[in-house]
Amino acid sequence: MVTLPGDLYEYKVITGTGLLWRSAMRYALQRPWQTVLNILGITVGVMMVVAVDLANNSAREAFDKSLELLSGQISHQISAGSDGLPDAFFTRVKTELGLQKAAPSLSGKVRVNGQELTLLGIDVISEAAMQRSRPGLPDQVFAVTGNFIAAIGRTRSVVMEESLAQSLGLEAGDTFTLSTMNASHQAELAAVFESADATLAENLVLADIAAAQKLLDRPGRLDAIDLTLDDEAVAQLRSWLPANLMLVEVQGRNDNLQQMSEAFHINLLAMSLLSLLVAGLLIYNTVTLSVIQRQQTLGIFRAQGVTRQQVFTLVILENAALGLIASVLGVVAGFLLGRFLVSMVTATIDNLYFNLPINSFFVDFWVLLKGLVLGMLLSIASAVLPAVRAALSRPVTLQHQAAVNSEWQRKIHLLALPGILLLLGGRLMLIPEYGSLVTGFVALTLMVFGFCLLVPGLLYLLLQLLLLISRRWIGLPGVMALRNASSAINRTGLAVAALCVAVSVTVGVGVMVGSFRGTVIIWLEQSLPGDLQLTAASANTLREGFPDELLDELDRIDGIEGYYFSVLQQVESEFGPLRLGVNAIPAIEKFYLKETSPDGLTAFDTGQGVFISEPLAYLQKIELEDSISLLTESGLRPFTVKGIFFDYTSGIGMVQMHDSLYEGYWASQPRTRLSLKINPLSNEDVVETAIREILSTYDNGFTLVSNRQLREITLQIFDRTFAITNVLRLLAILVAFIGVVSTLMALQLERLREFAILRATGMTPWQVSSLILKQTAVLGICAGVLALPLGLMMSEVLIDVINRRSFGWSMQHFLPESVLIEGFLLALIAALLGGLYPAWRAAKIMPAMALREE
Amino acid sequence: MNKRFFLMSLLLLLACSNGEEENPRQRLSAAEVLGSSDVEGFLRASEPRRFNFPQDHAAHPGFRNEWWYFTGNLETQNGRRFGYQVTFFSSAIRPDADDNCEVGNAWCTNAIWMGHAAISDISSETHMAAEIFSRQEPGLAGATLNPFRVWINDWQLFSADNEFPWELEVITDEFALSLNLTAEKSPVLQGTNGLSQKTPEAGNASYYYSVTRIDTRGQVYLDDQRHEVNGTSWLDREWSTSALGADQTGWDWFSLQLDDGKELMYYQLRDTNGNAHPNSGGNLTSLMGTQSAITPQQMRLEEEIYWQAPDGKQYAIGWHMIFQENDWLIQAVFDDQLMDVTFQYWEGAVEVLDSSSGVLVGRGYLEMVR
Repeated sequence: MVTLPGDLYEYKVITGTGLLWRSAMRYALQRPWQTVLNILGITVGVMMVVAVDLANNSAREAFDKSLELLSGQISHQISAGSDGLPDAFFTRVKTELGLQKAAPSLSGKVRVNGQELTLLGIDVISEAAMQRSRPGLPDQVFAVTGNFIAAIGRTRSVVMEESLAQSLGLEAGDTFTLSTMNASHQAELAAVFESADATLAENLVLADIAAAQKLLDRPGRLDAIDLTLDDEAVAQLRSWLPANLMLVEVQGRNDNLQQMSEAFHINLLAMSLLSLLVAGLLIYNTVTLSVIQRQQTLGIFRAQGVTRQQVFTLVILENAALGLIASVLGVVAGFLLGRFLVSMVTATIDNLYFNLPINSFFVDFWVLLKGLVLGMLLSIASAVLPAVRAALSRPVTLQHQAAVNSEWQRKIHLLALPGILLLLGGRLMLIPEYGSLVTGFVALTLMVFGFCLLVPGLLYLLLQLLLLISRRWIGLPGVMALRNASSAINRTGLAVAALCVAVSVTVGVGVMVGSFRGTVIIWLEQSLPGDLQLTAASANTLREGFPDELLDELDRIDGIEGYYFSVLQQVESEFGPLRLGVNAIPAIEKFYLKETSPDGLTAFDTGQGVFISEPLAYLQKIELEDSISLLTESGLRPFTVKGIFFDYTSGIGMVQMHDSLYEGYWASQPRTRLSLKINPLSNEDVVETAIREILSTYDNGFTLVSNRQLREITLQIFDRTFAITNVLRLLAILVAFIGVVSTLMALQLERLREFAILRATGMTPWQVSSLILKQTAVLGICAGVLALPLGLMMSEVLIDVINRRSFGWSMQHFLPESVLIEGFLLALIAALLGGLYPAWRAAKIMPAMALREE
Repeated sequence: MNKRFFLMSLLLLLACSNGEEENPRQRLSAAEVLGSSDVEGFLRASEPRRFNFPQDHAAHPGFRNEWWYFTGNLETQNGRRFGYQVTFFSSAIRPDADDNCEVGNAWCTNAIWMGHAAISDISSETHMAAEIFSRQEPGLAGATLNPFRVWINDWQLFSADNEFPWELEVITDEFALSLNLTAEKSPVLQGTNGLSQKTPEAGNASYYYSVTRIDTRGQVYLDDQRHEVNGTSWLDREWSTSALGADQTGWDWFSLQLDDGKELMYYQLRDTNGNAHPNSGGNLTSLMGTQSAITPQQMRLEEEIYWQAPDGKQYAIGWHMIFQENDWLIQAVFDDQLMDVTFQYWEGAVEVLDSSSGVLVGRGYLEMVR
């Protein structure tokens, strides 16, 4: 026997048997499909929010931990941009300045047994003086007294956490192949260590700087020198530091990186909330229907003395219970999905902002709790209006549905006005170009709500229109179906609005992703000059560039129309590290330009200025003719911005300059890339084979990639970067699908008695079934049709506002028909599916039984 | 000789696993490290050798440990006294520097260096100590000739050529030293012609020489003040691969510069019971630089006054030394001259007093590893 507290107890007393609860329970059990779908709707909504939130939090944690690993607990870094700095400079810092808290830093990505890992080069002895604890790494005492020493000064030796070694099937003393982009090396696992938190070290290979230089193909170079300095030392160091090096304040740089990637997190979170919104609308809709369906029962209870408050509480608690079940399921599912999503989120951050050496899955239990509470609240909040409605039902007397319906039809226009106002208000919020991301999303939400309010009216018009034009062909049952849908506009309107939003999310995100991809493809076509790219790949060739003999040999190949050198390197700037691209191709030929100064192209070609990428311009608010400071070999120098080009490869920004300008500031840098132009009349494959033959004599010193391949690779990276968006879109489709099915099913089930009457008046079971299917199909079509403008509006906002504010990218709009068709079909198929069960039920109905109550 | 063995054990602990260990995560005990187990491939101090100067002032690769050890007593014009210690230790990780290192890689290194520096400010009875660690390459530490230079980062000992005078420069967070050093006597070979046997077992020995009297002048920087000082320093040079036996746990080391122009060095190894080990020994250098060995039988040492370190260890800061016809009191200039670094030991300036008259007859340094 269960003891029931408070209100529940009261029900028991009043009804003597807990009748109210039994009736609620029976209602749920009699409509298992509806109940399951209802729960499923909330579950998927909660799952999405929890998964995205978990993935976001986990990625943030990974980001923080990675920053801490690479630059935690240090105050400054000496950085050179380009190819790092010579290691001899570290010796000078230690012996001339005597900076004790200085450690060399060199890291990069490597692959072992197909697994991508970060190789972190350190000097343990310097680390001991730094006294920093780095996540995932053994603590200092162990680092010093442990086995790392075995790896000091050996170019093959690496050290890793023992569980990683185990998963790679390695034991101390084993040799294995470790590869970088350019080459493969034999490495030896000198020792394993135990980390207090092994998951932090699950992607880390540690090596002495000697080995890191060898294994990462960076002989003689360091990425940076990590420092812990007080103010006095900072001043001293600044005055001593050569001009081509920069003392970077680490905290500021990390904050900047964090801010940039934060936009991406907000973006994801908002997308998941959008789905939750859809789920909420769907819940609201189902709960409303469930109340309408039970109005009679509830009326009887009221007549037996159940108070309004009790009815209200019943409906609320009922939904809270469903919400609880659904939310628990949602949290569990969200946890599982989050595990999967986090790798995608970290991949994005990795590609756009910052290499994450740590990308483990961190579970934030608050997120789980938050998801649970959110799901519950949403279920309860969605039930409030229907509960009020239920509480207001009059004792015994049946409300006449028709009366209610006609009342609603008169009120439609009253909804339209606030709808239009919300739409306009949302639109106005989007106007300021540099508005925040959050306002962007608020505006989007307002616009979605506004549109929802317009849906009943639009639906009514649409149905009337359909009726008008199709009357002649669809016959009486068809007309009935349309009339019926239109007269029940209070319920159908709401359902269609919910479906509309659900479908529009899939359309909006779909169009955005399609536009983005389309833009990138065009951009790739235009911004990859030449046909083949030859890149220095070994330590030697990276240092020396292209030998003259090689150039002579290339000259002799038929079909090579010309070649020019190019450079792609990192450069330090006032805004942190940027990518710098250099070659001698005229600006007009190589850029996908957004805007230029009037003399922009000439200025660029004559070395009078630089072009910068759009995200850089947008995020740092740089305009044409502004200047940007870059760290050259002779120190920080200003360059005039003469143009802004589209770029989608980097979240942090890129600068392009002409060879002649570069020459003046980076005279000692070798040219390590060569773009080859192939005569359009020649066969590219033949030329490529000829080049490869020549290259084979250079001992893997150079790699040859065709622009075709490069485009493919770039697109692959692009797809990997935005895989998360696609997954979210698929989930939104899932939510929408479940929503459509459950809403329409509920809608039709509720009206079974009406169909019974139709049966009694002589319609065959088949006729009734087909009527139901037609009706759901019509509603599905209407939802699909109305979802398209909303979806397109959403995509506009996502493309022009959200993505711009998140990443600084502007894109062209592409309208992939497939997305539109997909959205439409989604609505239609789900609608038909939703109609199947009610149609089956209606066909089986015994008119007499159903009519007994009439 | 001295704590240096103990300190080297730290470095050796660093170096304990060279990939051939059965269980690479197992830490070795100091005794194991200093025992003769892990000496394969290293050179050993097993027989007397010919010393050559200035060559022997530089590094001796092939041996595992080596150090340059300065102690001294300094005084300003107006009589303010300081004691100082500066040490450069190097410890090889493996015998062969090129083992598994690609030729041309600047970071190929097989030695790790540790520096200790301390000042005893006698007027305020404050003792300050600093330590520094570094790998040898790329050019971060080393000991070379032409010109002579021993350095760990910016701590350095150098000469214009290979000869005295040498410059010693050390900058720490709390103090700095800049000293000009001129040897007043030729190097003294300790033990048997420079072979200093630490246990009866062959090879458990070091090559050991001292420069027992070095005229010293320069500056001590303390509390933003510069003090012009002069005084006398002592240099100990030692290199070895294995030295201590398993039954040796600590030692007391005296370097005394007497006013009559003689210098005395004596180390007393302690066994596990705290008693003097038979392999203790020392050397007396005459005014003219001639030397005579001191055996444990010739030396009587009694601990008189103790000072307790924060960790509870007792250090004898007052000693009675009876040697030949002399009866000396050896007293710390003040009690707390504990080297508060990674591995603690007591090392400080002492005065040598005639025990019957109480007259000051010399100064020196005392080191105790307990």
